[in-house]
Amino acid sequence: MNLNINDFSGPLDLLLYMVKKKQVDIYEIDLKIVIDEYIDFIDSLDRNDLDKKSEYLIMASELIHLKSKLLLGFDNEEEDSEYEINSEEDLRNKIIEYEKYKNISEEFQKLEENRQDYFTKIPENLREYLPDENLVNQMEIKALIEAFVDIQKRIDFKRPRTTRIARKEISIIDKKRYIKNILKEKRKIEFSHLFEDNSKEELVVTFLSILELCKSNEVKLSQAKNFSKIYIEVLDNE
Amino acid sequence: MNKLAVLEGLLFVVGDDGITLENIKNTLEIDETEARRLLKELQEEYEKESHGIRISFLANSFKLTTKKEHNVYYQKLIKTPENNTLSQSALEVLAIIAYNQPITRIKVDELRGVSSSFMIRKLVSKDLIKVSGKSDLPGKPHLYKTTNQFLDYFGLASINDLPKISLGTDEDEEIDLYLSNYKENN
Repeated sequence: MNLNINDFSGPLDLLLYMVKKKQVDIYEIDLKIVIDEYIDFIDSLDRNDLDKKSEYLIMASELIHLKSKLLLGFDNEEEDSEYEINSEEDLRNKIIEYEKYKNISEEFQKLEENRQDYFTKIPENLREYLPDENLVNQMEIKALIEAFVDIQKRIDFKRPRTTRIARKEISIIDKKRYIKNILKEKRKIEFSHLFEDNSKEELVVTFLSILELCKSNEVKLSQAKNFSKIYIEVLDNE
Repeated sequence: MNKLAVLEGLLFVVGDDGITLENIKNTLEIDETEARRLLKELQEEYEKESHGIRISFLANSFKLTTKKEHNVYYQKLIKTPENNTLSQSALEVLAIIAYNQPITRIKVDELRGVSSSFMIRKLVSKDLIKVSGKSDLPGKPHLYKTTNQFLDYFGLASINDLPKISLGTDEDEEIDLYLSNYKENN
């Protein structure tokens, strides 16, 4: 038996061929022989051609299931819902049913061939007769302009703005003056008060200013004990 | 105005969309008898050998088509003469859907004994079948049916013109009876 898998549109087509080859009525065919042939055919297929082969494997398992049922002498009383084919009769009906469609598809092939012998044309474009055409046009142009203006606005909005970020330079001299002004009024304040809400840069400058003021004996720092509050106090030594 | 001439123009304009009898009546503002008379008159005129086109009734509408017997000349116009036809598998799927519509893909698979999902997708994209709704079965699978394009593709005037096929369940029962008798006699 030299069959090519590409000659068949599916497992039922193959089975139909195997049945027909016997040239007798399907009712007189020993399906056991057909089943054997089918399984032989599956075995003969290239192991690597899984795509094609797998299409035929489900049917093979159905047939093996059916054959083992027949061998063991089970009748078709209890239907196994996991299988579509539970008796030789099922298989026969399936093949007969398939044959009907296979035969009729030959009819369709003739019809198809026939119809390809004459031609028609695509419909004319009648859009220019549409009653509202002009109105639509005007509206469209207006909408187009609006859309364009809209886009313009959006582009303007999105455009990166050129701005100048001025870096605030804080000089120690200014800071010293600022601290002295506070102390002139308050005489003595908590050290930490000078560092409220300030940037890192400002903190550094403030700290340096205090150190300088200390060095020039303009202020005095005092702390009662470790980790207690530090006070800063003005010294009048001018 | 000569209604016959207008009808001819109408048929030209609608092209392969075709025009229904109803539409001819409404457009020309005539009754059905008049419409049929005009169609017949034009048809007879076209059937003369001096004309290259004829009126075909396809997918429930009238269309102008070329004549089958002139086919050889048109084929010379086409650069690749190999005609683009459907594969055996595609024809089988179409046949099953045509006679059982609306039908689910699973049912088509069952009848063919092999998966048809790829083929069904292909036929949908060719506009030969379409989804016509959902089945009440678990998972609510799509139901498929054939299209007007299907009818035109096979040169059919309507779904009633499908080639006759014996699919009745009555016959299946007869087979069963026959088989069981056969067994008893053994």
